[in-house]
Amino acid sequence: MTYLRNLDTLLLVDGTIPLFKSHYSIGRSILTLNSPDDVKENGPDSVIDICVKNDLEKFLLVEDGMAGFLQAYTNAKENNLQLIYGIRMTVCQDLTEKSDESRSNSCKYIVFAKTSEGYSRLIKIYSIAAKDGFYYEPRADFDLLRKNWSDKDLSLCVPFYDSFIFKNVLTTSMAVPEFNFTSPTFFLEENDLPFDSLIADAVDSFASTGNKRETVKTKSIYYKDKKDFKSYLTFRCINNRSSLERPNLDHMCSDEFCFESWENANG
Amino acid sequence: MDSHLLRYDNKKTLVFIDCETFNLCLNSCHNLPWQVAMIKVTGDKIIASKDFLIKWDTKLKIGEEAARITRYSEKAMEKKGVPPEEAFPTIQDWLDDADHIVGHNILGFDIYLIKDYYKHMGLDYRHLMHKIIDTNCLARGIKYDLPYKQEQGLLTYQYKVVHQRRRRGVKSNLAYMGKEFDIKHDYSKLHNALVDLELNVKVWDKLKWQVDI
Repeated sequence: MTYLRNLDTLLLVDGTIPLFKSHYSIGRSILTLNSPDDVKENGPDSVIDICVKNDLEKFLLVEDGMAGFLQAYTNAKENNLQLIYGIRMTVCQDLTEKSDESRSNSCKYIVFAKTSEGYSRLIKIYSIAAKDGFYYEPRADFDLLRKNWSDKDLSLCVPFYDSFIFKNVLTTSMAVPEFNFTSPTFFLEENDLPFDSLIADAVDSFASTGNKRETVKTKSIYYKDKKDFKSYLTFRCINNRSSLERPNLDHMCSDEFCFESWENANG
Repeated sequence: MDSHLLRYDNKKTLVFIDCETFNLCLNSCHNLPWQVAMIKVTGDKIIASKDFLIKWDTKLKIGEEAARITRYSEKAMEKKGVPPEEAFPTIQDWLDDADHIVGHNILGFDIYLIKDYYKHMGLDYRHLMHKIIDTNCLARGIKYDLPYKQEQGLLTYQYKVVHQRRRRGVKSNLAYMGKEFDIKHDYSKLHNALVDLELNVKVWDKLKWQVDI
């Protein structure tokens, strides 16, 4: 398979990197992976369609599992798009430990597959996380990542939200990273959330001390346009069994998690 | 020795703010503040107050329950309501000039409405963030035994409390805190923004002795 090339090349681009998520990450996005031919005028928007219409030759798809891969791969290939697939997964200290403490000290990382071999490794990591590490959700640990790691095939990224930095700065939890098997890339986002600058400062500070780490600007995309936020919010409320009048979703205030916002920032 | 603490500072201006809204949504696509009240305090003294009823050009309607709880009156709105553009300059002046902006659950709710109000006026709100004191956070921090350490920064500390999982039986709403502190107040009139704020000032006057800000 040649669809996954070098992530590092992509990360060298100027500007902000769009990170798409589809409805395969259950309850997290209202974008589909449908082929442009299957997109209806008043139907849901598609990541593939957005990429084709906006001349994006390659795109990063960050999902919560492997379920969307086949459709993403098939439709990306049909439309001459380069897919770079990653899983945003929970990483804890020890995946065999299933306790509240272990849960509270876990955080999110994104593992991207850069090659076909990387795809196999990613499936293996995710399968073990879902089978042996499952506790409310699939969980990997650093041992699992280390044993299956290859810098040639995989890339480790620290997402802006829910990372160990986010947790250590904005919560009372203590998530301890282990980067002795690879050097991760740190993502920076700006979505008009009141605490964005607190996280950004902490990421910059962490990345610039000791072993200097690479930071890149990214934009998580869950819907196409700002006006779609209300539909996205409705979808989130349905999943949360709440209502628009009382969403009960912490910090659900920003309409910036959209392609339009990325487009505005990147011309 | 503690003279640097805010509780001893009689020169700093604190603006207490509270918004009454159509519902509990955190984005202006479905919610707007129809009442914004502010009280300006220097030291222990209330030096001014403002109470705006804001008439938005919107199709959004306040729900029946929200109208009852917040005592929304269509008549009062017709009589006293002003367009958001008319109320904003004063709100902006007060918030931008304040040394601290205080509210009960302001980080969990009001700041999102203020953010969108600033955005509606084509302005950025982010310079307000580091001035915020959320009395709900301070109260919960005390109840959860999470001491504030000055080196971590007040905003960061407050977010740590915001993200702390709620514990069963631990209450920190404004009315509860008022009663817990034995504060005399007309509790039957709560949920009017200005009445809430008067209680908020009294609750702050108690809390400031328990947290070293």
